[in-house]
Amino acid sequence: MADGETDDRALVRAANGGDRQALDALLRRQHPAILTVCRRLLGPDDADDAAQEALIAIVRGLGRFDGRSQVSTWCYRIATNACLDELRRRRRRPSEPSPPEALDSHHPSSGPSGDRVDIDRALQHLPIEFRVAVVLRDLCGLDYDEIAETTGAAPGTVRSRIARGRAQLAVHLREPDGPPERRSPGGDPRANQP
Amino acid sequence: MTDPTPPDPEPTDAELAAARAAVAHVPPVPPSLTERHVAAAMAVYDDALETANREQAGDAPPPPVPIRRPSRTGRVLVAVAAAVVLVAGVSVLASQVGRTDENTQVADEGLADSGVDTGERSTVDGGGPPTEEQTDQAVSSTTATSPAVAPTVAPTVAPDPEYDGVPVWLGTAQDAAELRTRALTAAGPNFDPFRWGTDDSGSSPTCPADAPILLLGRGRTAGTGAEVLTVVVRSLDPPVVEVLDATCRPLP
Repeated sequence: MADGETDDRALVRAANGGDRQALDALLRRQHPAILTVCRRLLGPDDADDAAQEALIAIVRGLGRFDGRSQVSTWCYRIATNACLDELRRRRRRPSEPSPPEALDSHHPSSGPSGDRVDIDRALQHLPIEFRVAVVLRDLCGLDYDEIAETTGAAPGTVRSRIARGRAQLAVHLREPDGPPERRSPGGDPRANQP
Repeated sequence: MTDPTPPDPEPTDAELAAARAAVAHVPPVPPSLTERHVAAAMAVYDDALETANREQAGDAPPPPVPIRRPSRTGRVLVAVAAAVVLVAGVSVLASQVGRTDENTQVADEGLADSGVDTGERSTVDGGGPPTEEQTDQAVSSTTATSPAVAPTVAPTVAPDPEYDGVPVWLGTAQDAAELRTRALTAAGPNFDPFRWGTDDSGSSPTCPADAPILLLGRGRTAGTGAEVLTVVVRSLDPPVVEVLDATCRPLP
C-alpha cells in the first residue's frame, strides 16, 4: 500500500508537471475503486456517469491536491461528492424509479456480476448517510475523522452510522427481500448534520 | 412515533464480517469502460492544456456557438427530411454504380458490338455518363445529409455486454482523442461540455435508435439539460463518422 501511495504521489507530481502519461496511469489505477464506490453508493444505473464525473473532477482538481491525505483518499472523496451530486439530480428528475426496485431488474441470478449487484442492491436499502459512512470505511478504508471531514458529520455520528449501517446491511444480505426500510434512501448526508 | 416493524434479529459477528467483506470487494472493471472513462477525463485535460497554451499565445477564443434545441416536431421533420434526402442520395449512387437487369442486357449487347468494356452506363434509363450537373447534385445531397469525416483511425463498434449488448464504440484513448478533436473542430471550441464514454444508442430522443454510436456529452433531458454533441459511426468500412449537434442535425 505504501509503495502504491508513493507511486500515486509520483504520478500526481508528474501529471501536475504536464506529464500526460502519468495522468493517464493515475486515472487507470484509481478507476476500478472509484467505479466501485459509485456503484455502492448509487447502484449500477447511475454509477458509470458518476464515475466519469469523478475522473473529470480529479483531472480538474489535480493542481489543488495538497498531499495531506493519500491520493486514493482524495479520489474517494471526489467520487463520493460526485455520487451525492448525482443523487441530488436524481431527486430532481420527475419520474425516477426508486433505487431498490430499479435495481431488481439488474439482479441476475447468475453470471459474473451477480455478486456485485447483490451487494450494490443491498446497500441501496440503507439510508444514504449510512451507506456513505459504510462505503467510505469498509471499501475506501477512510478513518472516522476523514469520513467526518468528507460528510461534514461529527466523528461520533460517523461511528454510529457505520455501526448501524453495517448491521442493517448484514440483515439485508441475510434477507434480501426482507423487512422494508424504516427510512427512505436518497438523502444527502451533507444536508443532514447532527 | 411507533415503528410497526418488529426489530430484526441482531446480525452475528460472522454476518457483519461478511457484509464488510462484500462492501470492500472491488470487482474487475470491463476494460472498455475504463478506456472510455479515462479517455473522457484525458480529453478534459487536453482541453485545459490547449486553452492554457492559447492564452499564453494571446489568442482570444472565438465567441460561443449558441445551440438551441428545437421542438420535438422540428426534430421529427429534420429526421424525415434527412431520411428522404439520404434515400435520394443512395438512389443516385446506385444508379451510378449498379446496373439493372435491363442495363446489363443492353450493356452486354454493347459489349458484343465493341468487344470492349467501357464501363459506361447504358442508355436504357436515359443515362449515359452522369453530366456535371448530375454529379454536382449527387455530391451536394451526400454532403447535405452526411457531412462525413473520414477519420484516420478505424473505429470498431461491437456489442458491449456492459450495456446490454448495445453496440458502442471501442477504441484506444488515442483513437478517442483523435475523433474527439475532429468533433471539437467541427463544433467549435466553446461547445461545452464535451464528455466521452456514454453510449446512448436508442435511449435518447436526440439519437438514431439503431446507430452504433459514440457520444460526446450526454443530454440529460430530464436532469441537467446539458447540451450534447454526438458522433455517430455510420460505417466501418470505409470508416465514416458523422458529427451531429444536440438535435441530431449534422454539423457543417
